[in-house]
Amino acid sequence: MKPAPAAEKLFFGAALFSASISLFILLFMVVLGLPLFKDGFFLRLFTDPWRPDHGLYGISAMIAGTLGVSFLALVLALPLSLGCAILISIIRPPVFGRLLEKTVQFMTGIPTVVLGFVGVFLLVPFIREQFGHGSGRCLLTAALVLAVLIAPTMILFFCDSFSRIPASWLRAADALGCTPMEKFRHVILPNSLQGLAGGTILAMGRAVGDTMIALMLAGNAVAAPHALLDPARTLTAHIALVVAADFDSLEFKIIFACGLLLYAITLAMTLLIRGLDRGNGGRTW
Amino acid sequence: MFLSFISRQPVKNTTAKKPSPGTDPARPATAGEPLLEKSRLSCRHLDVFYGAKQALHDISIDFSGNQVTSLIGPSGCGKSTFLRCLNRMNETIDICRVSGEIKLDGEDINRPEVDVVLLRARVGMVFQKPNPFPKSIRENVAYGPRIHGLARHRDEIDMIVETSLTRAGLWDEVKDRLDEPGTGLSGGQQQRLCIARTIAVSPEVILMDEPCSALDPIATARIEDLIGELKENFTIIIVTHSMQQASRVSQRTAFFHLGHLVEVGSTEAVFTTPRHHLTEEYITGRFG
Repeated sequence: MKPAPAAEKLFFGAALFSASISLFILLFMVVLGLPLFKDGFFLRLFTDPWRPDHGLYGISAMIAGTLGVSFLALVLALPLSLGCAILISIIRPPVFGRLLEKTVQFMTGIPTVVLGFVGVFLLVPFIREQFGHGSGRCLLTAALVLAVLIAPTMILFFCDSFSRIPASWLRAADALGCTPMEKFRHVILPNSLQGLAGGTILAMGRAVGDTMIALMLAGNAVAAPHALLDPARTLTAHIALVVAADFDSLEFKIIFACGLLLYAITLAMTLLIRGLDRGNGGRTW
Repeated sequence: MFLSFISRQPVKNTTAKKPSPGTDPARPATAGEPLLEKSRLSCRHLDVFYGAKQALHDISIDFSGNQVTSLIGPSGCGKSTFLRCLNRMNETIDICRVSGEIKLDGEDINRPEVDVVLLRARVGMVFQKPNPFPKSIRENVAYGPRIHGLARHRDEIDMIVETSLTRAGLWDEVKDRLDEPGTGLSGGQQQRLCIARTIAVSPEVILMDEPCSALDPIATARIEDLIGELKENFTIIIVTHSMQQASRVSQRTAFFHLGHLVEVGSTEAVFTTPRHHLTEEYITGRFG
């Protein structure tokens, strides 16, 4: 059925509007960050340290912080999420499985500031006491809580990709006498790798983009972290901190570079997921 | 009314026992010759429930080796449900409950200590829609023998692949493209690949659940010929909607109706001189 012309126009307008917002944000950041691109200043962002009082505005420490925190969170959350997804959609214990699934769905809706809050009061003192070193606000603390944030996304995505395996393949495996483990290893896993990769990238994107948790838990020191217990500052936390403290200085302009960089990272991940989706044709083991 | 279900003619079955009418007198006994003196697979008083709904009522039937038995009946009569009891595929359905006895070579397959993995290696299954794995033709056939440890070396596997594909009548068509995906074959070829995959693990019994219903007449004829050849080595039980197919491929026929096993006998007897009026009505096309 063809929708009425008026409705069609309305929906088209809505789609155009929401699509253009994303482009306008990019444009906004490029225009406001334009001064940074002059005289090779942009390249110095990656080499200089962050010393606004000395006129040095390098953000490499923040890039390292972002990558460190999100990779660590991913490494922590990936095995956990995979295990959870297997339990929910493959082993399927009747009551516990449903309960777990509902819990995970609920967890996706928890505001990150709440997670950060819990981290500040429970995890920070715990880490401080366990390791007897530093303030407890560090790469590890932020990554642990960030892992809790991104795990539900991954679990639901993984469950979805497991459940998209055609039932006829599973029946064939059952009828051949596969053990559940063989069925998982030989039929389910090889055919859901794409979904697993997609979920992981999506979670990575969420980890990179999250602000509150890193801001509250990572310690925010302007130095590239070298160990788990070192404090770190992420690009997102940096933006938040600078915006809160300053306005209309060169220091403030730098955050547009941070924004652009985050935009680029998220875009790259989205394109990567798109690429995976396109490579759907040749499904082989 | 219900009592008239009991066969109109006296049961000629001379073997040990007649099917017991069970505790419920309203339950019809099976007409014809459900029980055999020598059997490979035998079921006694099989009841199947989906939740509170009873899908099969007191089924007792024997299957002898090296012949084809077809299960016929209108949709929803329980024939596929019955087939899935024989390799315990009903277990994958949470609400399904099976009671009664199914013996394969004298051993009850429903005992908890029976390894369902081994059972399914002995009782293979071919499905309605061809369902090859998204793997190469060779891997489709080699997979079963590999997981069951029937072959270790590459040349042993190759041997099994060749014999299985040959027996499934597919070898000549695919021998030059064993590494191409099995999903790239035509429907009929895919179904023969699934049959090759099933016989590769050397089962004793092969269950076929309407194996031709997704195929064109030519592919169907090839599968039917194949079934005729396979019965030399396997016990075959086939569910079919087509009475012509049942009469072409099978030596014995069992007619199911509303979860009851109404009549069993030689295919010829069931189709020419049915003993039960329901069978007669079904095969003459008055319902179904």
